[in-house]
Amino acid sequence: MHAGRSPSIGSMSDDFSDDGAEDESEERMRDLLASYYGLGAAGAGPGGVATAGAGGGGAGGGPVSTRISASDAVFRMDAAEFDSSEYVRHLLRTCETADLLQRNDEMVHEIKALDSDMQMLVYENYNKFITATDTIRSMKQNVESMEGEMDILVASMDEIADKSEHINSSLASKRSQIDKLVRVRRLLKRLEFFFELPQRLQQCIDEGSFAQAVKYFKIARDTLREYSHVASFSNIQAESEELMDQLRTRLKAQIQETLEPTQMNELVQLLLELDVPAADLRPKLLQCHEQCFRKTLEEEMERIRSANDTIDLGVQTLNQVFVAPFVAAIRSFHEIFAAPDQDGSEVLEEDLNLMSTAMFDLFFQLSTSLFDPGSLGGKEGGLPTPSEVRDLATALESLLEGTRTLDAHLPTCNSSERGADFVEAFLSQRLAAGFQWIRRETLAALESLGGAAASLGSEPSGARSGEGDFPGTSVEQVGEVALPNSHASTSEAMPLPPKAVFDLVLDRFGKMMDSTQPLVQFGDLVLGEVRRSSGRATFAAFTAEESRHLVGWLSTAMEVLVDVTLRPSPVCVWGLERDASATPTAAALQSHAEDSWDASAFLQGVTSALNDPAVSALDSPSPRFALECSVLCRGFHRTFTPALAEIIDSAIPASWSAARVDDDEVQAHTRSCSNRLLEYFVELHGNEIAARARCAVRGLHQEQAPVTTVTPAMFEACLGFGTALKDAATVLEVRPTVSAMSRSETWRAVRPTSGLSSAHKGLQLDIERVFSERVQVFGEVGFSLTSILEGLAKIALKAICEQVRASWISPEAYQQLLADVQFVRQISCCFVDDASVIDGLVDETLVAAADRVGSALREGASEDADLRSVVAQSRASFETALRSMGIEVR
Amino acid sequence: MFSSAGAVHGGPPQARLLEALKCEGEGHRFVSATSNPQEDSNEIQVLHFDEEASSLRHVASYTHPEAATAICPAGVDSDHLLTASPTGVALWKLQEDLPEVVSEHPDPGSVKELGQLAKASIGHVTSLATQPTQQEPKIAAGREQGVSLFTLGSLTPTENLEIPGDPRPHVDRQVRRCTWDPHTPRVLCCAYDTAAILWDSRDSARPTQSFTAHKYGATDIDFNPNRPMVIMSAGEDRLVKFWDLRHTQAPIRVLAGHTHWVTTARYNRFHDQLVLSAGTDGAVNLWRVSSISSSPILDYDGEPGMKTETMDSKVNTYDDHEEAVYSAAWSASDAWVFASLSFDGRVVVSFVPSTEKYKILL
Repeated sequence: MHAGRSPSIGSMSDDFSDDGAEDESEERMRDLLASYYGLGAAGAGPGGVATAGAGGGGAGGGPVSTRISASDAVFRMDAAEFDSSEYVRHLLRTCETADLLQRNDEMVHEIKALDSDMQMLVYENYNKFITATDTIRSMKQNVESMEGEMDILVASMDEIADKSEHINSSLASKRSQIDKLVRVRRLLKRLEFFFELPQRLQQCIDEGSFAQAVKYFKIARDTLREYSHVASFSNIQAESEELMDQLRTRLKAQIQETLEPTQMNELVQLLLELDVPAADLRPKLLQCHEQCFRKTLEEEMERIRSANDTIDLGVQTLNQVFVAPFVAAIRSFHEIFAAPDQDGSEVLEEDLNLMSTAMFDLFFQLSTSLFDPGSLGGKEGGLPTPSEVRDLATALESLLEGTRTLDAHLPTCNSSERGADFVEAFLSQRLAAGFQWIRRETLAALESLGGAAASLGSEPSGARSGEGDFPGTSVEQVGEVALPNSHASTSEAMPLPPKAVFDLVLDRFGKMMDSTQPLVQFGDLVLGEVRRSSGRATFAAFTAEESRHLVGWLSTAMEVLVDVTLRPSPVCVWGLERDASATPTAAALQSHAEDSWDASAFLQGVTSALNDPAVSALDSPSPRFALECSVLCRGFHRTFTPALAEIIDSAIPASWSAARVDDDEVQAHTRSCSNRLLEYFVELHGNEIAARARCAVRGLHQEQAPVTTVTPAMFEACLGFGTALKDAATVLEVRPTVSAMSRSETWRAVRPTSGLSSAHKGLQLDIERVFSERVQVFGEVGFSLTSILEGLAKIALKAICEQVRASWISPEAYQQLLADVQFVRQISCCFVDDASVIDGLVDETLVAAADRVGSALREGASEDADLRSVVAQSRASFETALRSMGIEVR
Repeated sequence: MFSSAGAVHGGPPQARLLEALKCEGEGHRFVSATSNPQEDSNEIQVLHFDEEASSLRHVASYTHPEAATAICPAGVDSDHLLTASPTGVALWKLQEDLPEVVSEHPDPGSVKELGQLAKASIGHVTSLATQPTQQEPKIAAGREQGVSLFTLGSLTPTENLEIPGDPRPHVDRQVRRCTWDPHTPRVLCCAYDTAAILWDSRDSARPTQSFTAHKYGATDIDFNPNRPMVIMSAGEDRLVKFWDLRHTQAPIRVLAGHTHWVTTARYNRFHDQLVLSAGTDGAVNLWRVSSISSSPILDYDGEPGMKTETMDSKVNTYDDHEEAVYSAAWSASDAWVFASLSFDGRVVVSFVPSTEKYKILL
């Protein structure tokens, strides 16, 4: 392989010239040389040699090597540990003859190749040596010639150094002179500035560039002061100072005239630089700002008013013209007066705060004045439209935003808080106005209902013989006979829709909630943000509370409208009524009031109806209206308040519990209102009957004729029972029936024992009374015809008894009275279940009657039997009368 | 002295009238009268109440020839008494030497004849009032449809104050009560039907003022003794009402506490915040109406904004009567004692509770 090659030595000599032709042979040569000289680092490196060596060995042992472990250095020819005899042994052991022969051949070839290589290397080596000798020789010649030149260079360099030194030293004196001159020149320039200063200042002032003048003056001032002992400098100083004084005066004059805040800022800054004390300037600047803002605000306000802008637009405009400029003004103010040499910053803050508070107040006042609490849902009685509500919400938001922006800059104004307060107050007012609207509407409805009830009349024709109302007619009215009911009987059958009032209130309530709900939500949202921590009552809760008030108000308003005698007037509610027996609610309310005066907002709702001048008694509320109201009140907690709660829940979901409208307090109140109204219904009818019955008793005074019939007046009075029964049956929606009179046939025996002294009778009665309960004449009425009629009978009988006690009765009149009282008793007894109370009152009346007979009674003047037949007769005709009124008598 | 326990005295039944009399010595003196149609059984009793012994006894009983419909001290002398009856007015002189202390059991036969001084037959008089003037006081006698005025000297009506005709039938036309204004003694106020009617005695032609006071009838009227233009009225609507005569559209206070008609309402003569009312329900109520009195409790408990509840309240209900109470009166000699009379003749003397007393005094 190698042997075939015969590289030329010549080509090897070209190793340095590197213009080798035969690349391959030359490269081989270089490798060989390199391996020989151990120049591993240069050239192909030891790898190359190894390759060559291995190439030699490996190539020779090609097939063998497969059988020889590569790591077995003993078998590698190039390795230092190579053991020829071992190798041969190994070959002999492992290889076949053919292989051994082939290996032999190979090794011969290799040896030959190696010999030629060696030869070639020797040659090459020699060749190189010769070339090197030549090179060394030429180099020696070159160095000798250079030495001379170097000497020349050294000499000239020395010369240059000498000359440079010389020049430097000769110029040194000049240089210092020049430095001095430069300094002098600078000084002169400065001096020139100083000397020109007055003119320059004058010029600047003339040109109006005051800032420039002040700047120059400030530059010069300290120096001038320093050199003021020099005459010329002091002159300059004096001159400048004078000019500056003039300037100061001029600026001060300008300050007085200037109204423009930015200009003012500049002027004030200049004056401050001119050493005018800040204390003098601050008020001026503040005043200027104040006037400016005031003017702007007022102008804007005027414009807004005249342009009739919407609220949100107005508020936004005000925000625009005030908030940002004001913040800027405050900032610039701080900048101007923040210089460290200013006297106490406290004073500064104080002045500023004073002004800013005043300004904020104005701004706030103007902004809030745009919100007219009465404009919507107010006097006109309408509710705001959705767009109005939207506007309102936007406006409130703008207002809050403005105040919040200002808050950071006006620490003392508490503006954010005030904004929130205003929003809260405004919204509350708004909501309250909404509820007020409902109240007005309800009141109108109730009044019309009351009016309708009055015009319908509560009595069928015939029962009232046109004599007008006995009670309630005052002396002023004397001369006119009121006949409001003469034409009323025709429309008697028309049903009154008291439930319509419910529906109306609910409808209005729904409308109101619809209209205010965005505001409520907005308010809760916004105020929730503003005062996250304070945890005030939300508007939702406010609405709920107001709704409770509404229920309380409604029931109390009914009482006022009806003019219930013992309604809890504020005085009764709050203090005078300590007697629980008289009016249970008053006592209940009282117990509330005693816990704490302000305890219950609900009570305030109740009393607001009592104190409201708009709620006043109807002219002459009919008894029927009272009963209708009573039924309404009674239905409150069953139908009305749940519906109310439903509306609230749907409008303000999940914000509160519906139970709150209908809690025990409200229920207790409505129930007692209902009871009082019912009692009043009984009282009205009862007093009507009583008044007529008393007239009948008074009329007996001169009675002389024997008894033939029950006194017509008494009979007529008793027809009042029928009227009341019909009224009650209509309103309570039951059939007007009375039970048969058979069981009341018994005659109430009295022993008008004239012989027995009154004192004894009194004693006897006393003993009886001790063991019997005192009769409660008024009140204690239930929602049943029986209970109502019993109430009427009690009122009538007690009144008759009292009238009898005050009368003088002739014996004939006494007989008549006996018949009358028995008649009333029998009628009463057929109305009620338990006649004991009635009998007690009848007894009392009969005893009183016996006592009031002036002259001694003639025994048996008129037989009981006669009287009985008279009474029975009258009772029969009374039954007929009842039937003719449409009352069923069983 | 400090207990509020009163004393009870049983008198003749059909008693409707009670007045306080001035008492020269210690104790309190009241006079009661009956209104019995059986003419021979009417009595006038003078009662003496001794606080120390807590005893109420009648010191004298007089027969009255007719049913008494009104009694009234005649003003000039403490022992002159005016009574009204269905026939007219009579002036009586009580016995001068009324014993200070009478025996425990007075002799039943000690009923004396009254010394009648004069009598005017002017029909059925239902109320009497002596003008609170020193000289020549006029007597107002309420009768049907008007009031007659006369002097003690003549006992014949000098003036007649007529209530304008009322066409309504069956109206109780009796003037139930009349009373003189203590501040302007020429002004007379009376309760008639549902109204309160005022006259100025200088012009008897027509009333100066009238207004509806009680829906179902007014029974009593009393002037505030310390505060001009304020009156109190009681009515058959179970209410006691207070009126400012300058604004009579609505009462300035309403007291509700009786369960039947209120027959009497009286101001305490010394402390107008104390008011007494009684009614046919047998109850006697004592009220404090401080807020509209001449001396409201201003700094009660040191709290300036005092609430009405503490200013005005019912002080106590005295339920010692079993029968309707038609008359009640404050003692003439002491601010803290009053008496009430029920139909069965029982007179009860009671005290203002001492706590209430201190509230007013301290």
